[in-house]
Amino acid sequence: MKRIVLLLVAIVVAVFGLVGCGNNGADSGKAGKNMNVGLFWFGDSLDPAHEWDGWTVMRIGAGETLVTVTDKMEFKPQLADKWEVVNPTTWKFHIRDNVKFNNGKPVTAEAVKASLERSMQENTRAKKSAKIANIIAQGQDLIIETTEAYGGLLSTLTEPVYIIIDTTADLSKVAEAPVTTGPYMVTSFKKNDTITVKRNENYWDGKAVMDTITIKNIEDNSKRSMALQSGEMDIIQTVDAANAKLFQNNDKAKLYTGTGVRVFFLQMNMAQGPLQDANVRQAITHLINRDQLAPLFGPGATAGGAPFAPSVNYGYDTLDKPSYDVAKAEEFLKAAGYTKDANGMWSKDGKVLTLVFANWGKVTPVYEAIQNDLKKAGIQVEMKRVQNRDDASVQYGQGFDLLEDVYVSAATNDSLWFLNNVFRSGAKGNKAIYKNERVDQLIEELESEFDVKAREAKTIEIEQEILKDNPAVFIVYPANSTAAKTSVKNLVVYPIDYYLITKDLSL
Amino acid sequence: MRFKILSVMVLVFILIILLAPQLAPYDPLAVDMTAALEPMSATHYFGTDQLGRDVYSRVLYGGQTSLGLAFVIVVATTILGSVIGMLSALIGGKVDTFISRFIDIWLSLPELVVAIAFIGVLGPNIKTVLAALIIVKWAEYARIMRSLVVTVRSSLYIQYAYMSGANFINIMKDYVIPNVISPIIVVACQHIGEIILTVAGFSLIGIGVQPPMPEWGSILMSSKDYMQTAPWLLFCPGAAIFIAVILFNWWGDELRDVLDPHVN
Repeated sequence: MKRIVLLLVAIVVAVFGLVGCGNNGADSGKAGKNMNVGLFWFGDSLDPAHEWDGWTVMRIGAGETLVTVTDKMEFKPQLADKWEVVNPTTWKFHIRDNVKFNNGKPVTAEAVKASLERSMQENTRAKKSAKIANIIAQGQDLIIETTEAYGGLLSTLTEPVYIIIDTTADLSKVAEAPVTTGPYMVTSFKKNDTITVKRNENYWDGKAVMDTITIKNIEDNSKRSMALQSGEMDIIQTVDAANAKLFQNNDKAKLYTGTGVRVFFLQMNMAQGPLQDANVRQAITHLINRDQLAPLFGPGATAGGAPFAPSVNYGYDTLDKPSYDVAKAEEFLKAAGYTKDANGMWSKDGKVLTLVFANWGKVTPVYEAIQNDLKKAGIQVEMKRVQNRDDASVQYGQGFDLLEDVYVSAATNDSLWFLNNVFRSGAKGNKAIYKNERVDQLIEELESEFDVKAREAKTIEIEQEILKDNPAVFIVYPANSTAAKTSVKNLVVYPIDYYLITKDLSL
Repeated sequence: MRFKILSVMVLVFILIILLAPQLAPYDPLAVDMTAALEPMSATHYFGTDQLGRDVYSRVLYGGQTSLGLAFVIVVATTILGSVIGMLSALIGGKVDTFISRFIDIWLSLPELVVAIAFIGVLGPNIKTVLAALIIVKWAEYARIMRSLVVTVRSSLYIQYAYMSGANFINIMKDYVIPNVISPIIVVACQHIGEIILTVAGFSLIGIGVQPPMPEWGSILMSSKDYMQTAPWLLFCPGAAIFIAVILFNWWGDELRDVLDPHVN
């Protein structure tokens, strides 16, 4: 009797166990074809208008904007199929006729207007950057009037904060499941953990290949790599220098890299301390060995020299960029009145040239290598750990000489945002306290310039001014890197890393 | 016998760390990108890190920081806590009650959280790590010392000493201190391992000793992503922490047995 009871218990346990296994199979036949993607960051919500959360919505293939940017850094129509500049303060966009939100409602100019207005109302960055005074919806035409002549509107509207959502849907759920127009629609959102999306059956540009995609937030670089190695993930975005080797010459996974649009640089304090002297700043630009630093930023990273990476059309090859040249640096230091003391350190008035290097990121070996480069040349560097770039300048009363900084310099395929935020006099991100009237004037002109070629020319001119004054030393352009199983097809690494999941991506 | 063997091992360990400048074949801070991530070899016993620095030299020098910090923190907390505890017991009355309640409150605070908050406010560097750990650890010693002094003071031989005409200073010097010092030393020795781990833990989460100064925890922190591609970067400082903690804890236990009159 006892044996029979035990046997029955064993059978029940086995049956429940098997049923459990069946339910867990996300890519079982019944559940459809699923892909697993590991990202390095999630926003706090999925509301495109909340802070930077739209970047996640874009990455997961749920969000779309009026215009998008290709992997060749060209503007491409998305929800708007054409546009024109009516006059310096008026743009006219035509919204595609056949687009529907994922709830089946048509995307009209009125719906786009409501979405853009919501973004500007909810997000101060959106309100400031677009300079929109008025939006008028006329059938499928959307007329945008700007507060001033603003040539950067097109690129600004590609930023994910302007992802078009259905504002007539239940907005209490917008943080977890925004109603968007992308090839995939959000089905669940667990903060900092998991997002699941499924194919948007109403998608205007053909059906997405995958039935569902499960996106995991795996912030730790090693864990993300291990998740791909173990087969738990099919794609992981951002592979660091430490783990890149795992996916090189690997039969099961492949590493994809592409020059990004981020720039890692050091702002140089022009308001106080030894870097007020232009000669000392010049010397610093020649003392950092960028070629040796680039591999520390991961696969595909390239040595820098100018504000914008070679991936964008801002004359990278034509600019006069500083090179690693210790002899040249020594000339500048001598011109600044420094002499080498008995210990081989540059000194002036009995004081060794000492720079405070404030850093807030995670690339510790890079800070150490920079410190080593400068020390080797005879400049003392004191490390100062701060919470973020604002800490260094506000909390510590501008108590730094060199400040680590990283920006997506051409996030929307345009130079204006970066230049305006970092190099314009009085800008919030201008921690160097840089002031050049010509640069300010050119940035102002750039704002009202509509011709793409003319915008490029003005940007190059600004870059030349910056490279002459050296408010910053531009070090490396980290690459966008993605690793995927060899079975993954149609994976494109965009220079702008918030583009990742597309309708064609498949397993 | 076991105590003697362990004492020799501890001494040898400390000696190796102290002789780091003589034993290390390379400058622990010297960057050589051309030699980055070389595995263990006769040229680099523990391999090199992502900046081409010799890990063997960094571990040796890192020991000076890790052990040095641990010793300074343990000595400072022992002296501070013991003085407060002893004064509380000797003065007695309201002062003793006040100090005792204060120690109760202090010990009820989560010490790691307080230390992290302290470092967070003042900024991470070697001085704030030192101060933070002294601030959170002293109360433990004060509590132990107070109870030891109270117990010894109420002993009959102290009362007989008073009756025999001994003054306060003599009683402290000849009877109280010799009876309370041994247990405190044992506790302090047992804490060395704990402090080494705490300092390494702080460095591991980025709020401890700041780069480029080598310290076992900070070496681990800057290498943690290389677990698969260059495991020697984690194994060597990890092993150094492991050996140091095991050695000091074991030695502390043996020391307790040697000094404890009940065992003898």
